[in-house]
Amino acid sequence: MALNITSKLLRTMSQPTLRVSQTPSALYHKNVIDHYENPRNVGSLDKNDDNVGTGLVGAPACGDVMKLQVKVDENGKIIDARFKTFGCGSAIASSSYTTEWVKGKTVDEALKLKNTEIAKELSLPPVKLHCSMLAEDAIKAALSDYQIKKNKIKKE
Amino acid sequence: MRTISLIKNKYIFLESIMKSETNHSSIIRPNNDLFNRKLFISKTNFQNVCWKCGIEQGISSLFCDKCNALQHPKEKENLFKVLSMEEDFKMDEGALKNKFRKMQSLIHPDKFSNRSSAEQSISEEYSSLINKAYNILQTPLKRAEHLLELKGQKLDENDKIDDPEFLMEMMSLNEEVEEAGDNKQLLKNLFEKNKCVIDQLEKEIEDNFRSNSIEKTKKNVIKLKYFISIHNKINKILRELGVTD
Repeated sequence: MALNITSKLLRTMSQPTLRVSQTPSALYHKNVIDHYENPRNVGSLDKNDDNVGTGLVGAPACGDVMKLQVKVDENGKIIDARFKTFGCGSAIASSSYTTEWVKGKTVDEALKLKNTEIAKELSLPPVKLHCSMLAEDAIKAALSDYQIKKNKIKKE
Repeated sequence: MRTISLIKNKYIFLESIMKSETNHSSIIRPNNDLFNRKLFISKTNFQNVCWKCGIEQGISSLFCDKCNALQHPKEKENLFKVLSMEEDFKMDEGALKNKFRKMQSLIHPDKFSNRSSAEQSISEEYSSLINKAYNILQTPLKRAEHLLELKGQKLDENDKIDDPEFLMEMMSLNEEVEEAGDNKQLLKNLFEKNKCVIDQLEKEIEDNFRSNSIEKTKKNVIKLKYFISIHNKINKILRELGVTD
């Protein structure tokens, strides 16, 4: 019995690379992995289009950068959303989820998205909560960029 | 316990002499200085007594002068002090390495296999503290972050960047790396270009710390963080492509 345990221990110790590569899937929730492996709405919209709002935010503590864009129709409804994120799996999953969530909503509805909702959907652990905050900041920045554009056009 | 009270008595005794001396004429002044020094030493040493034999310790001594027992680390927060290095961003990396090796050669748990379990556990704690200190001080980015933390300016995960131009630059730099795909030459060029920026930033940070301009330092450390993250990214791709130099 003891021998069996020891040999098991030795086996795991002699395969460090295998252990390391297996760790992420054990740590991340399946929803994160799903969004990470099949990210929705990756890409860019024309940021010079008057109907497109762009939000660009960064998290200094991790060196992450996240771009989130929305396209709004004449009724104030979000008809398209895209993102591009360079960062950890949770940051990518958070922005992917956010683009899915905002599609079909009005600008006012989308402004109500809270990071807690993103974190809950993706079951983010406390150390990754700031990734969901980054996504909330990004969508708010994008919507505000869109509103500023619209107000400018109105004034002209 | 008896030793502690002895030291305490000595301290009170010195203090009483000091008080009586202050009333004397200036001729005794030089003596007064001597007492002052003694008083200072006994006062600081009072807190540093050996956990094993209770004898007072020098501030930087690793081992008890009398019973030779390994002492607990006296400093745990300031990693510069842990390795007795000057608290500065500029770092003589050779000297740091020597200091680390020298301390580890005295403190490593391997040296304590025949000692008491109490000393073994101190050696484990101390040794891992030294490892941590070395790991942080040897890396410019981590060293800068630690220095900022010591100055009460820790980078927080809720910190925001309000520099859209810089974020744009980081976005396109990341895209460039992505678009380079597995083109080794292109990746190498990007790597070299990035390395130049990092070297330049580290020089700036050194100046920032020297002139004590904390806001500028913080901004540059954040920038460095982004460029290091790109550095690691390219490095990882190159290694996966089998480029080792």
